[in-house]
Amino acid sequence: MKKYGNEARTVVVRAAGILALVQIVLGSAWTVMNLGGFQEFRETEEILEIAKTLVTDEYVGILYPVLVRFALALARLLPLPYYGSLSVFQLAVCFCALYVALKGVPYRPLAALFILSFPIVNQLCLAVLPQSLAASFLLLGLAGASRRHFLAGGVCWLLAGLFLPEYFVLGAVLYVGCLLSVLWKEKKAFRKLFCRGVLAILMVCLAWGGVKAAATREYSRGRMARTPAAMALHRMVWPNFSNTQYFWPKEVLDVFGEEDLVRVSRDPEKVLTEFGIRLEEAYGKEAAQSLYWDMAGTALQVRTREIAADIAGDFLSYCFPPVSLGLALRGESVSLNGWNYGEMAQRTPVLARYYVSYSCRAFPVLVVLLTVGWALDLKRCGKCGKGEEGFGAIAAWSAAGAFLAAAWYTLSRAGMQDCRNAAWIQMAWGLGLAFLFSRLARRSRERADVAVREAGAEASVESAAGISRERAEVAVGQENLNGK
Amino acid sequence: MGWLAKEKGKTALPAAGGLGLWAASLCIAGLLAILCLFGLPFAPWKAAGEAPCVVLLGDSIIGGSFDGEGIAVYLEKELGRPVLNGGFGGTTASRQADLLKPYSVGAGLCLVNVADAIADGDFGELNALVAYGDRYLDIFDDMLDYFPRHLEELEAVPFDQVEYLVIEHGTNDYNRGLPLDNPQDPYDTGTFGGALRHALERLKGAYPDLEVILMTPTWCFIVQGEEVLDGDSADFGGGCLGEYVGLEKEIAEGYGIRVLDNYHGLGAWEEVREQYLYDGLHLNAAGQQLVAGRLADFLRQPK
Repeated sequence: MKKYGNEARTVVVRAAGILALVQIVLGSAWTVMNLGGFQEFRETEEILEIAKTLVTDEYVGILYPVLVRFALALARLLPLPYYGSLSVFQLAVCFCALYVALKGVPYRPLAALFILSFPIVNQLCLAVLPQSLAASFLLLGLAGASRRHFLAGGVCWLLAGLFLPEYFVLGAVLYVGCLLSVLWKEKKAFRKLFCRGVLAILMVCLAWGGVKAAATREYSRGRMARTPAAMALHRMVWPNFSNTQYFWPKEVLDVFGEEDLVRVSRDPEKVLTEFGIRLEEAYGKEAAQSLYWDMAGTALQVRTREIAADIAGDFLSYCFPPVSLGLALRGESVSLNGWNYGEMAQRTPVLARYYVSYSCRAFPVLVVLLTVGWALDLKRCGKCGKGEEGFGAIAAWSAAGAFLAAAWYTLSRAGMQDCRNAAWIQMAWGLGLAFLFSRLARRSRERADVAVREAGAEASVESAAGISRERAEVAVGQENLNGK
Repeated sequence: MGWLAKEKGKTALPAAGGLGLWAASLCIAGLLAILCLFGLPFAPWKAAGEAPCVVLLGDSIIGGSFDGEGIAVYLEKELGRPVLNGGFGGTTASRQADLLKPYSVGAGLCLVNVADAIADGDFGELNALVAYGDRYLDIFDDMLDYFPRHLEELEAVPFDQVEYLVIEHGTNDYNRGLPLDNPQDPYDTGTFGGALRHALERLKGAYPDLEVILMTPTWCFIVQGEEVLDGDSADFGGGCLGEYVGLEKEIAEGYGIRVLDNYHGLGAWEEVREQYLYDGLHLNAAGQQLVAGRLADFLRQPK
């Protein structure tokens, strides 16, 4: 049984590795053939506008428009479009972040390429969007914190937050959590590490506050203020602004007629650009918050099941991005991923089709394959190796971050489930799969080494027994001779 | 040779076992990879054993029904052969970039995108879009209840076995004032002419044996107070409807494809407009039967 168990585990590891290699090949081909292309996203247009003025609001980080501005300047000097140089930079940063995080994992470069080859991650690396760099720097921040490089990790966390504001909050939870877990295990250098950690956190928060004060202006992009009440309004009320209007406070109905509410109901972005703006202009930001909470609570009471079902659907979609993408392309889930897929397939429709189909289907296969392989041998897997332990912590915190990110994006907007928000979640899944692969591969190698050693030891025993037998025969023969 | 040890009479062969494990791994991985790449086929038309003879693409003139029936149903009765209705009401031929958003169902189902999906055999983007619109069916004004069914049926069509693909567009391009053509760029898909050229080239390129036929919009009218505006007199920004029809015929001639002129060929509808149009734009049952009969006669003509 032990022998067959090891063989089964070896087959699982190798089969998973081959499946991953196929994805790497498809992903690499797509990357090479699309590197010079431009993907049209509305957010890209906004970033280009912000790059001119370097003033943004709470929804868009300032660092990416700065980077775009630099890329545009570089494009005047080099025979390369600005989005080309950005794509190369984003790919390089993403690969490096994954390589750094995957310390201790066998076939480290291939493992990094595998995670990079997930269509969601790959597409974002080639898009003029901040998600790829935000996720990469957040991963570096987490790796830094887990390996006691608190200052470097803190800087990376800060950069992630400057690319995408919500990643500052996410990064805070992960960085502080990881820091605490490191300090918990530390006995000798606790005081030194604690001071370094606290100093890093203070510096990051000060820097964040300073940059935000300098570059962020509320309403500068024509959107309502980003507050918890605004998020609750969007999540709970859209798209029922019109058909729940009889429950709205008088203050709201004084500002919006039925046609206005119908218009807002038909476009999720109009909640930010029209509804919230007009209400805050009419009553001020503080009073509007109270109205948002009121409307969100009312909508939740009136449409509890509908809202609960939508929230559950969006959350599950964010938790399993490749599955969600695959279902969306079959018309079996509600999301905005059709546009993303259309941009992926624009230049290479046939390759994109097979690449995305393969990845969406291979993802659950790999999860099941590696989980079953690990579960079957759970008791014997034993403790992690030294390098693996650090990576295991990163994988675990990434998973926690993925859960938080899924919750954040689910609760902040309705009707806008989009796999572009799932960059971190996809990376976390990749790190988790790499962790399982690493454990199984190490276990297979150990058992193979043990089997070879055991076979060698038995051969020595037999060989020794054989020598003893020969000597005994020689001795008997000698005795006989002597006896004669 | 110590590794070739005997264990209670059994022979252990790690070298052969290693090859065997690799073979097993490759077989399992290969099978899974093939399943992941190609999935399982989904083709109800193939399962039924008969592809439609005619596929109709267009706007509400094609997609819509009156009293539960429409042009596709009447055409099927006339021809005695299966006809697929692939029309989507409210859609245009041109790709309206300023309206295109990830959740704009009507703009997303334009002829340009539908032709691309048919040519590439990939309806993923449109499936996702229509699924989104279907969730908010009672709220979105550019989403109709039959869109998911029409799209599903369209996706399942084996176009290499279809005889005729009839395209009917223009009315919505006209009444929304979308540009007629772009002299600087004949393939500008933001114009009616560019959209038609793009669609024809994609479809003919993917299915050379498929006969593509253009069918012009019918005459229409709008009553504003005491004034009656019609396709010959009203210009909403892109030209009169007659100009769109003229361009359509010109493009058809350029590509050597047949065009059925329903704008001029159905007689003087100014006098009998209410006999065939129930709201000035859409055909009633009599109008649909008339157009279906005309199309059936057209298809029966030698190519």
